[in-house]
Amino acid sequence: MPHVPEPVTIPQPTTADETRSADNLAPTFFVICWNDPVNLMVYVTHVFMKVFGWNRQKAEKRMLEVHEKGKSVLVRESAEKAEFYVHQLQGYKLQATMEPAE
Amino acid sequence: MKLLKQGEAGWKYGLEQKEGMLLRALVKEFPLTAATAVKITRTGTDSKSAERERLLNESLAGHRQELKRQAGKLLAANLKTGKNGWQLTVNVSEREILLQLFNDIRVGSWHALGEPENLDTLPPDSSEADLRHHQLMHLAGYFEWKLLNLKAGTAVEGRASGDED
Repeated sequence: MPHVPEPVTIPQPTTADETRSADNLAPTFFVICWNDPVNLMVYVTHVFMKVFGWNRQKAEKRMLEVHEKGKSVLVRESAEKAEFYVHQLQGYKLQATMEPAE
Repeated sequence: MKLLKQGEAGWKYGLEQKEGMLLRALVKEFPLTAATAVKITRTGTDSKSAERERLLNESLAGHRQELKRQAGKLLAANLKTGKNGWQLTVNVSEREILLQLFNDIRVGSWHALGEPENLDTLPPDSSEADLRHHQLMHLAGYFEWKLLNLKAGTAVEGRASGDED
């Protein structure tokens, strides 16, 4: 049986340009919607569709998650975007917060 | 309240005399959440969180003012009375204004009631103010549900459990 040499993997040199971008290093936040007994289910679905542009199926799924599990992590975003979404959701009077993802 | 017409321009609703008067009275209650400061985080305690929270509450106060300004004009222009009741005509953005306004009244009333889990009944020792907030909360929910669920030509029977009607 002929000898087949093992393939040799040569590590690729890295340069300063290949380090992680500032965006990757910036802290990220979960935007969370919390359950309450006062917001109508149909209203919560409507708000998710409006704020995130989700279709009805996805919005209803997340709404049910809030209703049944007490909360739903809606998106993970940079601080600025998470803040924007919380402002939007709170404007509709949903109980939404941003929590550090790490 | 029923949906008379639905098209690209928006929706036209027909309201009975009593509904039209209740709607006008309800809108005058806005805003009800002004006294309630909201939290932007449940775990963050750093200075950035405090600043974010301040900005959020400022933003919400501005939003309420803008809604109030728009709602006053909206009802004056879009809610008309006739011999058979009232007609409310709204486009997409006007419907959003009304939904937010109704929900502010609903949530604000709920806060005023002490944020109860049970929305259906009031304790026996409830005050006149409690009774009023209880009625406002349910009235706002009624109009909210109607705006979101009525479909052309039909009164929708099915709805998610726990929803208002």
